[in-house]
Amino acid sequence: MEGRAIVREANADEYKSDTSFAHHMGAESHSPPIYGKDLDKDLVFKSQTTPRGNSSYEHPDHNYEKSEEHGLHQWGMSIDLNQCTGCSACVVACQSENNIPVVGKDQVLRGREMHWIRLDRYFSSTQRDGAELPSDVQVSFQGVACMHCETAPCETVCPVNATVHDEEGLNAMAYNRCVGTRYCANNCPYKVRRFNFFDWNKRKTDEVYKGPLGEENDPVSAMGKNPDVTVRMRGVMEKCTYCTQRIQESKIRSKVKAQRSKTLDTGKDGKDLVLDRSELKVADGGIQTACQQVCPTDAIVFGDISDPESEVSKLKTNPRDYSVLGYLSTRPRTTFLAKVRNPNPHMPDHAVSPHSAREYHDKAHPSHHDEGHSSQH
Amino acid sequence: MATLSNTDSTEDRPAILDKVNPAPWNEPPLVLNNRSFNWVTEKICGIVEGKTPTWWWWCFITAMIIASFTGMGLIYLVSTGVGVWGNNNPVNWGWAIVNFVFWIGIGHAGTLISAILCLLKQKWRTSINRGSEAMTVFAVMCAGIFPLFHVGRVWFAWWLFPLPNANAIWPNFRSPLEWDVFAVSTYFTVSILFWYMGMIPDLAVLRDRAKETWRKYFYGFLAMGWRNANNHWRNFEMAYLLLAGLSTPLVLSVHTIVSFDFAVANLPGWHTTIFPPYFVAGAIFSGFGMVLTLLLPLRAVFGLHDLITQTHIDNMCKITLATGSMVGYAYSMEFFIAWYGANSYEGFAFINRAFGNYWWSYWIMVSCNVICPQLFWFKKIRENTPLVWVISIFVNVGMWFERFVIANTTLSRDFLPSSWGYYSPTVVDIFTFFGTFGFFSILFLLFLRFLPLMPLAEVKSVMPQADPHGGKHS
Ligand code: SF4
Repeated sequence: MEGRAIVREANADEYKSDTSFAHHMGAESHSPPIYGKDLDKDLVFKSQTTPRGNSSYEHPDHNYEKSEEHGLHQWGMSIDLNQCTGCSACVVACQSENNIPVVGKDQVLRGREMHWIRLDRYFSSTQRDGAELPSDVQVSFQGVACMHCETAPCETVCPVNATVHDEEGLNAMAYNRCVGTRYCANNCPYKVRRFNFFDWNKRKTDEVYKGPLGEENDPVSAMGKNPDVTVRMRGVMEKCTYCTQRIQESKIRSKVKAQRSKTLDTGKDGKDLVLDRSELKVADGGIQTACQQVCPTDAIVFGDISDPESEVSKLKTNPRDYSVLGYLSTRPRTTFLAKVRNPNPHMPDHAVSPHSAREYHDKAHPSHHDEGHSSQH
Repeated sequence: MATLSNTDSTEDRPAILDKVNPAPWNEPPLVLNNRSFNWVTEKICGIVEGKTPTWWWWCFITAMIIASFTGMGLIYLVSTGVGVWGNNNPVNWGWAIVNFVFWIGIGHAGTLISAILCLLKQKWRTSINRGSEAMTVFAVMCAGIFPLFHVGRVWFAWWLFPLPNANAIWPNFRSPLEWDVFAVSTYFTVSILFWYMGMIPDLAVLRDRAKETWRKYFYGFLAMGWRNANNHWRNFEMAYLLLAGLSTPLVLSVHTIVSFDFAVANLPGWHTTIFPPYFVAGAIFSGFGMVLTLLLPLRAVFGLHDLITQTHIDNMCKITLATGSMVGYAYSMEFFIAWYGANSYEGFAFINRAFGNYWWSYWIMVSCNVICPQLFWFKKIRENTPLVWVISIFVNVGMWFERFVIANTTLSRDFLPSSWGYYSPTVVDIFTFFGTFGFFSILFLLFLRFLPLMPLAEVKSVMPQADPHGGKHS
């Protein structure tokens, strides 16, 4: 992990002594000159608002609550790294839910896979013992999809306004407007954007697109598509939508339900029937994203973060909650719960703290270097 | 009051020197061998009016063949998809953007020579400005190809223009790519205007000397009724000055805005405030490199030694040296700031630049851009024309690699190590870029054959004969 605080980990003992260890990692935890008077604010505040430090200028508060037309819901996600086993079910579920093309080995080798969610694996170790493979490898998993940053760097750089925010906090992608400059993908710090380098839906399954004169796709694969989700043509960018089709469906369903029950209660119908804004709300847990639905350990939780009672809101108040690359102030809507390991002290490869954490601390505080090492051996 | 008494008292102050001996300074002649006005006219018009040389045809055919590579590459690209290039997920901008910045950088010398040096009254610019302005226009044309065709759906590229439409969607004026559209198109328009306007009196000369009917019509049309009238000249000079004033900020703004493509992004290695000045210096550096590359062979072929003299070469070498050193300073400053800023991502990005996966390109860049031009400190080297030419080629290569280093090392190694990648070009990438040199050569050869290579009136104005006092005033 190059000593970067991307997957934040601690051992159970460390966690006991400092439950909010994740807040003491990453550049946002030790950059006083930037935060100025906001230095003592907690990490969630720092990475989810726009701290102005000692600036004497007012800054527009982009927080959704202040927005005049903010939506009824504010979608957010929490991924518990403690629960993630790295089984990759989310990757497959997303692929079939969202009509994500299979691009083939050759294109994957070129780095053009289309997965909207990917499972990042980081390996860390201390001892090499001259062997080719180190003897004490630790693996850290992290599922990464579009974080739906509130101040999304991808949006400002699109010259044609093809990627914009909607009022419920989704970073939306207008495929029809996209001309494919790929600037958004460059500027996304999480590198979750995927570009259609070829027309994946207009080719034989085992070939790359050969242009308009090439052979058409066979109809069988088209039949396997999810009818609720569009397929994308070549030259456009795509990425995780938080399963916007499911969100939409649930919103419609709860509206219909609310209308029915109100009609039954009041006897009113048609124009006379006025629904309260709050009646349109989708109940917590009413929407499951595809990745969440298949996660065997329930590591992924999706919901409305403007509702303090929702499961996702509660998880976000957990001291283990942190934003990846929080120091960029992108204010991602997807946050992670840091991982706590519980190694057996009697095992030969036992380490006082996870290798990735040690790597990070060695790099962030080089002065404590020796200390970190002596605890190793 | 106090100041007044002060000035009074200076009168009693003893002079430091009894007598001021000005150092002898002989302005080097800009046209050698005491040539006459007529000789200049014959020489420049002769290039256009003479029989088409055989070498011209060979070069033209070769250029056509090379240019067809770009044509074929682009047809393949548009019909199939951007995937025919080597771009991939972390490196979404590969050679296309590198080539764009490379060509647009080259396009800087022309306007610098014609506008800034004009305002600074640098007389030596007269014999090289037309050629370098032509180079500018053609380089910007080559540059324009890349951002246009690198987009995924080129048939919708016009959406970048703020055209009212039924969808009521406007372009995003916060995007540096949008700024590029305006910066580059403005620059292109002004450069073409400047180039063409400066050419009108010379086109009139060609018209007046023309013997064939087609020439009379061709140049007559282009000369727009120029009659050498006094008020024509007065308007011309005023317009020239105005355009020079207009394009001076453009020289600085275009590459500044191109650098914003990188500086505005948040990636370590791109997000730096040093980019605008550093890109402008680099652009002028590469522009002069290209001017040398083009003009030195022309000088030999057309025997223009009396017009493009050693003084000209010296001056261009010195500008190359100065801007090359500025670029070198910027390279080291980037490292200093990366360390001083104490941002670990930034620090990593720069160490990775020099020693990481693309280390070879970094060292090619440093040796071509920083070390090579240092040779121009030596007069011996500046006087060795073939060597100057070779160094100018190195400058061009180095500046291409500079853009490659900036674009690719950063993209291939950014925030999350899980998404690191490596970019290598495909055959299509290479041929498309190679072909643009053919395209450029076609345009330049046509320019040589049909348009006056030097502004006759301006060259004559810096000759000793133009001075009614015969240089013996005072
Ligand atoms: S994670 Fe990337 S694609 Fe998603 S909103 Fe943030 S910057 Fe945009």
